[in-house]
Amino acid sequence: MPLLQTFGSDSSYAYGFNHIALSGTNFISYSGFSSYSYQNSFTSIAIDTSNNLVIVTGGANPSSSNEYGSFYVFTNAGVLNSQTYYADSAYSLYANYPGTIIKNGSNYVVLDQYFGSTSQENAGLIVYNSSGVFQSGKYAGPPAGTSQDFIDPRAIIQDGSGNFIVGGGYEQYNGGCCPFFYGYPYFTVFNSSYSVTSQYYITNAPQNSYPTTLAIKGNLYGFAPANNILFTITNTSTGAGNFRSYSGTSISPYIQWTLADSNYIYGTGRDSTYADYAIATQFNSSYSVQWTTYVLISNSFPQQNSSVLDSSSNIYSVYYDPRTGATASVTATIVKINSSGTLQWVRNLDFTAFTGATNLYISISDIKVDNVGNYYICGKIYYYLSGHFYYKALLCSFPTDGSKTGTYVDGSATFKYSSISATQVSKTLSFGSSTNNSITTVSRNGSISANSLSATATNNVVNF
Amino acid sequence: MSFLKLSTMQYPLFEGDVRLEHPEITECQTGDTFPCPEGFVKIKYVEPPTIDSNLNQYLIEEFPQQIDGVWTQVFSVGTRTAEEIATIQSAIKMAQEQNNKFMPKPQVQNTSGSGSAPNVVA
Repeated sequence: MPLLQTFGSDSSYAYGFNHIALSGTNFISYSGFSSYSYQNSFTSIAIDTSNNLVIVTGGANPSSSNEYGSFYVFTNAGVLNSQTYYADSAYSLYANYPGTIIKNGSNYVVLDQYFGSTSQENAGLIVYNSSGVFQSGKYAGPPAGTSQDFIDPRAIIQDGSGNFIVGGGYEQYNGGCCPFFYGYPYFTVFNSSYSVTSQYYITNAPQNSYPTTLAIKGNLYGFAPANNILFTITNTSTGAGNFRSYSGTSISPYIQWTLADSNYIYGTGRDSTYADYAIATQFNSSYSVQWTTYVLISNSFPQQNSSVLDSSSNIYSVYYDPRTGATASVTATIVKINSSGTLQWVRNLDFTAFTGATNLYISISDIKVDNVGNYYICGKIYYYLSGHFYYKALLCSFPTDGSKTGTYVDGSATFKYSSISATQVSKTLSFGSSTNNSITTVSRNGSISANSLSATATNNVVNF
Repeated sequence: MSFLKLSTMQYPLFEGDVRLEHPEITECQTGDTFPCPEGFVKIKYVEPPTIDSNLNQYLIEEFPQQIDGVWTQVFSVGTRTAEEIATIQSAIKMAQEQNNKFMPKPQVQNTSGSGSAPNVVA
């Protein structure tokens, strides 16, 4: 029997989670009605070391005073322990990309697109404790240019020294038109005390080549899918390094997620021509590609948001079909590839909404694995019914071995988790030379000091 | 590598799917060393046909066929309607917009002063 958890009464929040318990601790959970979309879009998951908590953040909408970023704490069985809402005049909690929450000791650090007052948008780090209580915050604005410049922080990773490295885009206002902004790849390094220690942008890479994710194996690596580029930063303090192109034969790859274990670097993504391929590749620090796996999922039009490695270096990648369905179901697809590049399984999660609903949509943002054989996905679903759009945050847990397939019904909503037709196709991926592609950076002029977010925030915590 | 389960004609199955029924197969057994348990057959891969890159066509993997006694992959090419192509193009645009930025860029603000702390939603 589904367990219905209900709390709160304000329709601007995600509330009233419907919980479909599978056997064991696995589950499918989705929030109740909300007229606002963004806090009902789970963005990013972190898991604590004992697998007791799954932490999920939402985002806030800077164009509306009625939307709030939220910090959720779930058990690994999907029971909501607490939810904390944050908003201010600058709408500070705006975590809008997957993989942007990091566990740091007993706290959690969220990469935030902070709408501060020294510039329009900044790279901000917001620190919460494990209950979602605000601890501190720092942000760093654009490194140069005008007050209309802004930062589009996409990715964050913590290095072995405790520094937080942020990658993304620096959009510099050029005063002209069409476009008004020039986009540079951008990095900022915060130390373990959350002070900014370096900040630079890359001037000789193609425009808008923003690294979308980061990984560390000795060097810092980051794929920028917009122009098929891989950045390698050999010195994160100065930005020294190189960038190189990547390409495939017959099918052009679009690699947007960067991973690493102790031996290899990995990239995952899709094909760039919407030819229905999920892609993963493994390469070493000499850019020698060990394997590339293309998985054809026919007529699926896969969009990727996130990938993760487990302790055995199996890769789990989550895709979704962004086509909205009229009254049909909508689909997310999860692909598992092992460390040798062999496809292990493909699973679809199909969602069919309530009778009469139209314009169904599903978007899966993040995927994470715990150390006891489960993976978690989060995102959102929405549909139109009886004159209203319904936005629902979604959080699911399934076993990493691909088991527990089946059809799960909750009222008139149906989730189907099943094996689908797919095939591993032999294709290749290769990297170009970095000749003449040494990175040229411009560091921030003068001293760098992150502005503090010295909040005295209490919060709105609902405990159970 | 894909498999066909003969008793149910279930296809496609991959290593992980087979391992669910045969947990004695270790994680180290993979690729060429992955065994083919009784009741399953390995499917011979073939190169998929080339399709155009303008969304007009898509590949369909059909049920495998026995060719000269070997279970072999079979592909066909599907054709999308103009309506389907328009739906995909709309989805591409929306996905690109979401990927580029989740929110529309806000209006230019007064940029003087220092950062402010998040307030509390009571």
